[in-house]
Amino acid sequence: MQRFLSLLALLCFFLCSSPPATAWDEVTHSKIADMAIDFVETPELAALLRAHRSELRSGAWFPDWAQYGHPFDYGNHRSHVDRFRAYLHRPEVQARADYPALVAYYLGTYGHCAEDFYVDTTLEPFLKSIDHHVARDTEYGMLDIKEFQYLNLHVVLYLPIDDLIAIYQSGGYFQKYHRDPANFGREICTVMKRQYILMRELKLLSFLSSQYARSLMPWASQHMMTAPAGLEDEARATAATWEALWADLHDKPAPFFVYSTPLNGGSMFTPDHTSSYGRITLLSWHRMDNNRFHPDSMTLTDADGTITSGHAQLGYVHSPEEASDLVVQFTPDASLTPGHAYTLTVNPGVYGLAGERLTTFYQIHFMTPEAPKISSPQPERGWAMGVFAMCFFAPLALIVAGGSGLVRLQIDGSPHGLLARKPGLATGMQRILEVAGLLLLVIGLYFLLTNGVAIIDYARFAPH
Amino acid sequence: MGDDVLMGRPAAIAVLLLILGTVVLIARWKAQRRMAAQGKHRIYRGVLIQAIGFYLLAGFFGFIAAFFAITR
Repeated sequence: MQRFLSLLALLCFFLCSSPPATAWDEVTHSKIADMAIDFVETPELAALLRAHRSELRSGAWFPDWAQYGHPFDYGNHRSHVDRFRAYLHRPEVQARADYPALVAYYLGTYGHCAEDFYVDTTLEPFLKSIDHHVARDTEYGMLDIKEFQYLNLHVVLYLPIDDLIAIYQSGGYFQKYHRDPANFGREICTVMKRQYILMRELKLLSFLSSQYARSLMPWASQHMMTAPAGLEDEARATAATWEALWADLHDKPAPFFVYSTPLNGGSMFTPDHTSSYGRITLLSWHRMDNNRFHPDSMTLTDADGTITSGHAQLGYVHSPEEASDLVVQFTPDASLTPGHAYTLTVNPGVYGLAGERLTTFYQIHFMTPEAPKISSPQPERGWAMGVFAMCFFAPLALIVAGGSGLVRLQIDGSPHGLLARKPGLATGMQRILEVAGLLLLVIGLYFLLTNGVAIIDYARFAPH
Repeated sequence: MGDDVLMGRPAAIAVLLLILGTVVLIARWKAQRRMAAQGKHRIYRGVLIQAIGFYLLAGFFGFIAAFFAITR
């Protein structure tokens, strides 16, 4: 029965599209990039970003479509952004008229990477521990709808294909994967078109299932915008990363770490060391090397100077091939004392993958809360997908059941035809059509009464 | 990019359903006239219901096409 309903759900929902894949990301990243402009403090940088919003948002799209352009892997993808920065340092590139557009594109790209690494080590594990239902990035997009109201990407796509080819060539990409640079532009366009269609389909899915996603994740739906590493926080972190990159592009010094959770002078979300919000997360604009962090690299002390033991680890490292990251986390060995002041100190040292050095002590001071700031909002009831399914099945039921009228009309129109000569056959056909129509109506009612959960579940976990 | 597929396909289906609804309505009207000429009065309620179904389903696909048009 479940399989049958799933198939029906698939037919109903994707009658004019194809099943979705994993992520909605582009719209959310694009939105964060747009929000981050308002947090940029350097006037020249803010002016450049405002003048090149489309390039910025196009850049924010880059990491996801680059992944789809197999065989880009995550390691390659991260090393790519470093090569992009080296490319932007070239005098002949800096002399070009479209240099500001390229810079905006690059910042959008880098912002996406930083946001992913940051959210995946803080907010996402926390959501999993609170709401237990976070399955995919797609869900974030569904939650975003409540805040963003509209689902538009608002971007005139900017694709510096010749520059990307030059950057990829500098990394030996085409030789390594036996690809032809002459076909690269066409391949990119094919991948992006597929992604664009997928993204648009996910909008409809998100529109119809956002209530359901919020009912599964009531905490996230209420706090997605303001939570640590939520959308606003991510926008601030992105802006801080851009400031450092902007300084580097102008050969000026930039701080090694650009953002933290908790903020310097702020308050921790929970003292529970088992929660991702009970760790201290630092964001750098350098790719850090996991092997360069030692037990004495970071020290956590309370107001009396007592050291709290713990360990530092890069957030996104899952395998030896991924031994670099923009995010490092300090995890205390035990929960911190509620209502106490703490200081995290990072000792000077070489932490960057390319030998980048933290030249001075880096410190953040923060308080732990008296109690975890976790509320439990009431889940809301979703109905949109159920109504949508009913709007499909009810007319279909009318069409099929109404077929009995067509049989009658056929008999009257051809009084000597087969149906008129065999009244049993005509009556049988009429009954079959009426029963089939009733069955379709029942299926529509089932989806209406169950809020289309079977369709949503299938769409969420459909293979791609 | 891709809009032609996303909006075009459901829009085409919606137009097709509108045509189908109209065709069955015309067929019903013609049959009623023919039967009336024979002194018989037929309503063909089923065909009317079917036409309504076609129009409603056209609205469903029209909604999908409109959604993709608005959110582009």
